[in-house]
Amino acid sequence: MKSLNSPNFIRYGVQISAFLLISLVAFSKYLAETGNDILSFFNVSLHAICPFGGVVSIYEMLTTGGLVHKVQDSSWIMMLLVFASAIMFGAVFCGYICPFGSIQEWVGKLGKRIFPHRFNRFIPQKLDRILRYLRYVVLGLVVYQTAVSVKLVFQDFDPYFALFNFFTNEVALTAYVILGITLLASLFIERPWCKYACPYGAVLGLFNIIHIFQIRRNEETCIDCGLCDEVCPMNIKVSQSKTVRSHQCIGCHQCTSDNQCPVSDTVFIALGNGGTKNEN
Amino acid sequence: MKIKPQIVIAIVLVIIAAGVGYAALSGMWATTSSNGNGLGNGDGLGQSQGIRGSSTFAEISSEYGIPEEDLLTAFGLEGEDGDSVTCSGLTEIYPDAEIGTGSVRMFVALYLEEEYDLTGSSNLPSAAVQMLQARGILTIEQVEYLELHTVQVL
Repeated sequence: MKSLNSPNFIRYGVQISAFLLISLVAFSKYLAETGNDILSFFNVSLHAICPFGGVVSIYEMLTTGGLVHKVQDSSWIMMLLVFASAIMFGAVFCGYICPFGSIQEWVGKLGKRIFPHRFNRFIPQKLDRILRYLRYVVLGLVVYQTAVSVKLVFQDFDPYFALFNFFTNEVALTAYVILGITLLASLFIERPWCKYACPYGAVLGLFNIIHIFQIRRNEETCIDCGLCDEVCPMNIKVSQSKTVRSHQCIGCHQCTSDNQCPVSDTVFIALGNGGTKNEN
Repeated sequence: MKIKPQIVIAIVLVIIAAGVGYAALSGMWATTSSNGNGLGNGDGLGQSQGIRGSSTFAEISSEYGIPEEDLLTAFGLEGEDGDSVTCSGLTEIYPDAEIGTGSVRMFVALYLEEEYDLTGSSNLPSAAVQMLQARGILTIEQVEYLELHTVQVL
């Protein structure tokens, strides 16, 4: 039995806690809006704590000093804090904290049982490689449209907003449809929204190229078992990398020797080369 | 220098918690629209954006200096008690009419001649629009917008 302080238990704990916290915030806001202000401590809008709100407000902040409609100063602060963590460790927010990534992962566990051999391998590699850049197209569109309209245009397409506000009348039909498609697709593909469409993941993925503490593989001790590739939810070929700098890495650390890699100190998180002879 | 995944997430959580805590203590952590507090200027719109679904007409009247009778008349609720009418309650009174909290914010903003984002989907009852027009404060753009966002309610 794995100990309670194993990386996976801690990750699941953080994921569940973040999911419950966001659910509580969304439900408290709904109660307050309907005149039942009984959880006022959590009575803030989801927009107010969404770090992506800060991203889409960058243009507005630079040009007028203001924020986009519905976005608050707290979103801007959240964005800066998540960026700070991403500069140090990459897109760890996606792998540990983002509740929409977590729910896709949980649905994916069911998918793994239904399709034990084909799960996460349904999309042909060539197509998959192209689709991985789709989220940058989504990011560009969202940032441009938000800058032009000074409104949270993405809300009407945002499955994350739909998931946590499904009981309100604020969710557009398009967002419900995208949420449904994403959850259904999660039965076949691990984290489909993160892989192909998430504009915030696209932003954080850029930090993977420059972040300070990198995931590294020691070629001298690696036994080429390929388990790191197997367990990577984003299908990154860790076994073919000395340093994982993929813009798709969500920083879940499943590939590391602390988690799934069977050889100790072979895949690890390190500043510099971690004491091995590996070069980049 | 190697670092364990547990330490990574612990540091990330500390960065976020400490950052939020510091922002809260220094007054920068604003989760609702404000006028000049914090980093930005809220959403760039007026004070009416601070109206919530749970706000009653009596509270709005007191907060924004709009006579309660005007609010009730505008939303077709003459004779009702302003303490018992909430913004979110309008969606139940006028189902499928897109009249709710956003409508009250719009009405208050236009009534107070505040800047208002004319791209929303909220509607106003015809009585509210007539009241605003009678005050002679609407711009041509606002009049044109309201022509498309007025609903007849009984």
